[in-house]
Amino acid sequence: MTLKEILRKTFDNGYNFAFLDEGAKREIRRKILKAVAIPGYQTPFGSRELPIARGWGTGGLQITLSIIGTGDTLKVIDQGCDGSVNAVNIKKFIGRVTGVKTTTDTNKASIIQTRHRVPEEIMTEDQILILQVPYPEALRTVEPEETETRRMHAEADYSRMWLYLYEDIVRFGEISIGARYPVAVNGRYIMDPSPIPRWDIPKLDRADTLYLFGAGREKRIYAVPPHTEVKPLEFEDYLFRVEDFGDARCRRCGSCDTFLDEIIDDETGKRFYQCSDTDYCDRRTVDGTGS
Amino acid sequence: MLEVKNLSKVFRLYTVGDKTIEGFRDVSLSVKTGEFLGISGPSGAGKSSLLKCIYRTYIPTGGEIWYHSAKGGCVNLATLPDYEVAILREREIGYVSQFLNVIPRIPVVDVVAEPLIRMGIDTREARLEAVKVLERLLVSSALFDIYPATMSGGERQRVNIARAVIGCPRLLLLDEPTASLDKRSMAAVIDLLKNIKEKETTMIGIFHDPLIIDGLSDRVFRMTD
Amino acid sequence: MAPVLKLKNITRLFGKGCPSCLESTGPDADTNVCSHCGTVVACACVSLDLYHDEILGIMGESGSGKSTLLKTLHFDIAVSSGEIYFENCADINLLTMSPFEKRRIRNFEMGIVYQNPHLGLKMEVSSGGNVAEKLLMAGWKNIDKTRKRSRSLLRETEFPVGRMDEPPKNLSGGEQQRVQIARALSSNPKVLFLDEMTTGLDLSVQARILDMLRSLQKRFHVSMIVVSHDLGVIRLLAQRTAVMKYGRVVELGLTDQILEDPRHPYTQLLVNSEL
Repeated sequence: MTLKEILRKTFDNGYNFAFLDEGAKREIRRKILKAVAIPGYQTPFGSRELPIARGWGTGGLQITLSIIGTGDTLKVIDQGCDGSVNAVNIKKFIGRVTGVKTTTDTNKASIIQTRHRVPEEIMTEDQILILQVPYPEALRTVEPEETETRRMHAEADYSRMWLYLYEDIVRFGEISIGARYPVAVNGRYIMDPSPIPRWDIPKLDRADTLYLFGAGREKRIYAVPPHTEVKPLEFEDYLFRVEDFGDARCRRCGSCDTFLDEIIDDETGKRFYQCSDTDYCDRRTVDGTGS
Repeated sequence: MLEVKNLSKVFRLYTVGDKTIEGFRDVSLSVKTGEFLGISGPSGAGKSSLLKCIYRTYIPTGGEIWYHSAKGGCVNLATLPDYEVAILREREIGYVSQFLNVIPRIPVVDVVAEPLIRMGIDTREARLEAVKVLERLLVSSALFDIYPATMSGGERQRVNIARAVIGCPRLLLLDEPTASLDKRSMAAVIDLLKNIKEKETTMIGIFHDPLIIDGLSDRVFRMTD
Repeated sequence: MAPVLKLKNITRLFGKGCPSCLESTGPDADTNVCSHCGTVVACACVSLDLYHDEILGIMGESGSGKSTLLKTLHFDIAVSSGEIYFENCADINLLTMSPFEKRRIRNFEMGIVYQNPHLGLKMEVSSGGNVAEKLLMAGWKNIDKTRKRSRSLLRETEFPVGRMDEPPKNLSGGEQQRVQIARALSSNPKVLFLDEMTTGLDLSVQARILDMLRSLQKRFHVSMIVVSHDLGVIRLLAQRTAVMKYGRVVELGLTDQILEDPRHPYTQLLVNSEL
């Protein structure tokens, strides 16, 4: 399809290319540039109305719609899964208003919008990962006031976050945070990496890929540019650790080095594990690398 | 060592209808290093007030008090800044009266050792020294670990003296510290004061008992009404 | 000798203020409310020096402005005008510094103990955590070392260290004050501010805390400003004392001189009414 054909097709739908008007896209792109320039800093932006409800990925969607071009290939996942209803609907919607190619293959996608996971495949500098963010403020657990958390960020006053982790260790003998593990970006801002598992945190550190985070309801955009240091908060004697699945393996592909979902069979009540990243699992199964 | 020139003290009391009371007027005296100057006179002559002016518990209303300090040269205690007076008190000038004024619930031995600890001497060493002085003053060792508040008047006075002399001040002001001592302890006190006098502590003392004045003083300064 | 902390003309008004505020208030005017504009002059033109290893007392009745003064020194409340100089940054008026620098100075060079422990402690966080917070602020990243240091500070304040993982809300008033003191001392500060810290505690606990403070003062070589309306506390702790009334310092001197030879009519009244 030529550009002309695509444009004609989208206009035939009665919508501008990528749904948002050009002014809105420019605003969001400006805020993305600012977010990239200040790694980990939450940039406020004018969040637009969309045909899906706030809280259903509108932050990520607005970023995707603002940066997508006709030459892009799009993949959308929800908790690692290409086939979930939410992911499919967002992918269909973007496809309809842009006409871009869509895929489930991580390697073939140039833009990946995701909720709560980073793909297992190591991504490249030619790709952009867009994460949907429900709660952008990492300090909200320790401070309810927005004016106060902004001051804390401005002055790098993070002792209360550290105190929270200290208390966690005193109480439970370890840091009990599962998802949304706070990270320090570029040695400056403490950032909420969105509810990805701890497993995915090391993938953000000095990656080749640009990571963009969008919170539509909270109206914030932030970013981790390529090759930026991202360090989970940890103590010398209580180090950050990713999830440990013991001897468990994926029942489909046999993998023991991926993030596994625990599934209980409704009929037999049996417990088994399966890769959370379905595309990765599928390809390993087809390749014959699985068991 | 110390030269008092035309010193006067007048109290102005606002709470009882703005009255003025004269403590003493136009006192001049001087004391040489290592000398013991006794002060005598009828009660009301202003003996205590004079001592308190030298210690700066009272601020003189006229005159000068020149003191040769170990470090800072010659200073006028009548006008020296408070903070510097506080330092002199900690290191050079001691004052002992018949009343003991310390934090409650501190054992006797620590009360006596405190001035040494404040000078930076190790706590254990300071305590050993305190025990020595208390023993010299015939304070029973059974009392070392109890609180001064529970002691008799005579015992308390000896604790007070021990605390004042332990740091060997260069100038020691004594305001009737032996008022209620028996003969035996009195003799111990006199003995101790003679001893520190040999170590070149200069003293100015008010004592009611003529025996002490005669036994200790090199000179006596008489104050009149 | 140079002071650790130097205050120059510290003034704090509550209200819109007018040119007549200062002259129409104070001990002579017998009020701290400006008769022209109704502004409350909490403290005015307070100049004081705090020296090394010194405990400076500030006494006065409630409403005399002594607590307000202390809180301005800890940057808890802003001043209307005035200057504060600190030994380690001698030529810079602390009040002109950025919030970031002020916080740094407050965290590392100062400590405060409030009368109300709710102001100084996080009641839900463990007592050890309350002490550790300043260490974490200073970049301590080792839990074991942090806990050891917190424990030893709490031991210094005679806190029952077996309870260090309990939150202050479970503790007695005296224990809460001990946690506050341990927290205040954790960064080895140059100055410590104590605001009526033993008021409301029973007498035997009061005496033990005062005694402990005196020995900590020696061990930590920290200078202190002690605010109290209790002459007993001032007498036992402070070498020098300032007397405040209606926001002004009416008399400043050696503590025994203030108590035995008070010269200002108000000080005489205060001392006489105590006896």
